[in-house]
Amino acid sequence: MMAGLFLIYFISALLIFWRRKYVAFALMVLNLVLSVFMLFHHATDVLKIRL
Amino acid sequence: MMNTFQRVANVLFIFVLCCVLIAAYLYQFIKHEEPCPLCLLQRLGMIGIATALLMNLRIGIRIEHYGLAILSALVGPLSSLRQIAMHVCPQFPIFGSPVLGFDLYVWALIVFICSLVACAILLIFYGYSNHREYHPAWRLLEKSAFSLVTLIILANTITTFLQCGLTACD
Repeated sequence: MMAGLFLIYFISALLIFWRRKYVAFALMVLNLVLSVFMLFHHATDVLKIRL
Repeated sequence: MMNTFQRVANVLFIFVLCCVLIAAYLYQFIKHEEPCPLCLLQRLGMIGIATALLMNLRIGIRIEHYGLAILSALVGPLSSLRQIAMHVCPQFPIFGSPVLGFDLYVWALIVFICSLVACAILLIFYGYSNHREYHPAWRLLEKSAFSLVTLIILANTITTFLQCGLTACD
C-alpha cells in the first residue's frame, strides 16, 4: 500500500512529462489525501484506538 | 528574465530536495537503518513538493502548482511532528541515528518549513513576473531535474515494495 503511494507519484511524473496537467494534478491531490489516511491508519494502529 | 530566474530557482529547489532524498537513501543502505512508515510518509511529502515543481518546469509556472507544493509541504510535517511527539519524552528511545545532533525526522520538519518559505518567496517573484502562458524550453537542467526526481520516485517505489510488500508497512 505504501509502495502504491510512491507508484502514484511515479505515474504523476509520467503524466507531467506528457503534459496531462489536469490528470496529474488530480492524482497528486488524491495522493495527498491517501497520505493523510495512511498517517491516521498508523496512528490508530500504534495506539490501538479507533477514531 | 524573471521567468528564467523562476525556472532556475525551481530547478535548484528540486535539486536540493533530491539531495535530501538521496541522503536518506544513503542512510538506509550504508547505516542499514530501514525507514519506518512515518519516515516513508515524510519522503512522500518531499517527493510531492518536487513533483509539483516539476509541473512548473514542464507545463509552465502557475500559481496552482505552487499551491500543490505548499499542500505537500503541509502534509509532510504532520508525520514529522507525530514522530517528534512520539520520541520527545525522555523515557522513549530515539528512532535512528542523529545527524549533527538532530534526528532525521527533525531534519525533515526543517526541510518542510524551509520549503514553505521557499514557496512563499517564489510566489512573490511570480507576482512580479509577466504571467504569460508559454511552453518552457526543455533545457538540459530541466531534463536532469526531471530525470532525477523520476529516478528517485521509482527507486523509492521498488525499495518500499521490497520492504513492505503490498501492506501498509506496519
